[in-house]
Amino acid sequence: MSKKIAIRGQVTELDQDGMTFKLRPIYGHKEVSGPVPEQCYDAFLKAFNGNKDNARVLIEGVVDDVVMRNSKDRPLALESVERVTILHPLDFHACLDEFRNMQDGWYENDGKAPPHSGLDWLSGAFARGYPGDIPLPYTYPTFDGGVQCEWSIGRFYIEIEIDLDTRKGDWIRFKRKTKAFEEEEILNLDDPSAWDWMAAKIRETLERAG
Amino acid sequence: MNSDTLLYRMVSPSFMKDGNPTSQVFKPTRKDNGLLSVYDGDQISPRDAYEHYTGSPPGLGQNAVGVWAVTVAECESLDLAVAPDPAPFPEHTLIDFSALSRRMVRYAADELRVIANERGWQYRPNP
Repeated sequence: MSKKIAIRGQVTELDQDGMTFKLRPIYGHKEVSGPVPEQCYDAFLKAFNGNKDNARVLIEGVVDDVVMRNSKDRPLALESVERVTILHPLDFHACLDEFRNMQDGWYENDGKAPPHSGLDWLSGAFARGYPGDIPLPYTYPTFDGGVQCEWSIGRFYIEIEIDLDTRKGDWIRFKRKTKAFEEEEILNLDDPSAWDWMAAKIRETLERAG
Repeated sequence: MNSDTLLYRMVSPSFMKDGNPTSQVFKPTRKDNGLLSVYDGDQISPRDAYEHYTGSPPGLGQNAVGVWAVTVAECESLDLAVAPDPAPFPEHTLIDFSALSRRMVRYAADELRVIANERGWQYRPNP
């Protein structure tokens, strides 16, 4: 039995003769290897050459179900690769994968690690609600185990602090150097209309910033 | 300490993304009670401050990717008082956010981040 899998990470080895690769995942398995399909070779090469610039890829492939179950903390061999995508440096899901590696006490012996269940929820909500035509945020963990997204657009600064337990987002937008606040809102991020509202505000900011 | 004194702030690796720091570098956390810890630049170099913060005891043994700075005057322009607090160690200084509303804390943290970013790294062990 085989299953589909999607893994984000850095291509650490590319064997041009054997047409195989090795990937260091951002989170999870120790190492992932597999065959390089001819149509994906250029993407693999670009990712491998971009390693010094921290280039990351999303690999979508197929793995044997039994291999998958027995592979925790061990190398994982894919049966096949269907698609390779070079990720944007601010790829939201890759950021969340980074946060999955965090432990409690990550900041000055304090600081709560974001809960994996909350990261799973946010990853899904973002995929459903955040349009691809507006800029990706800079995304960081917060001291309280949440996630903070930030956008700098011209003179404007936007920030949303997301509580992964309540699924609420504390939004603020203001114009820098002026103390002119556009709005502050608490958003229910389980509600698709909250994502529409955010996207509209970001688009409006882009227009006003010129 | 005077208005031109540089106040050194350590930058946690988790607070950097693609070379861009978060405003949280200058935002007190819940445990800080509105008081942000910095080093008094009249008493210590940015390199020594970094080594104190990251070094083993008597250092603090914390993680940082480098050191940023704002001046006392820049803090005061945002209604943030600055005061020495030598109890933990002699150069320890506090930027006081406690009188600010939540929205002004967020505003001031971003302003200080922008100012410090423009000033640039004061020390980085592995640039």
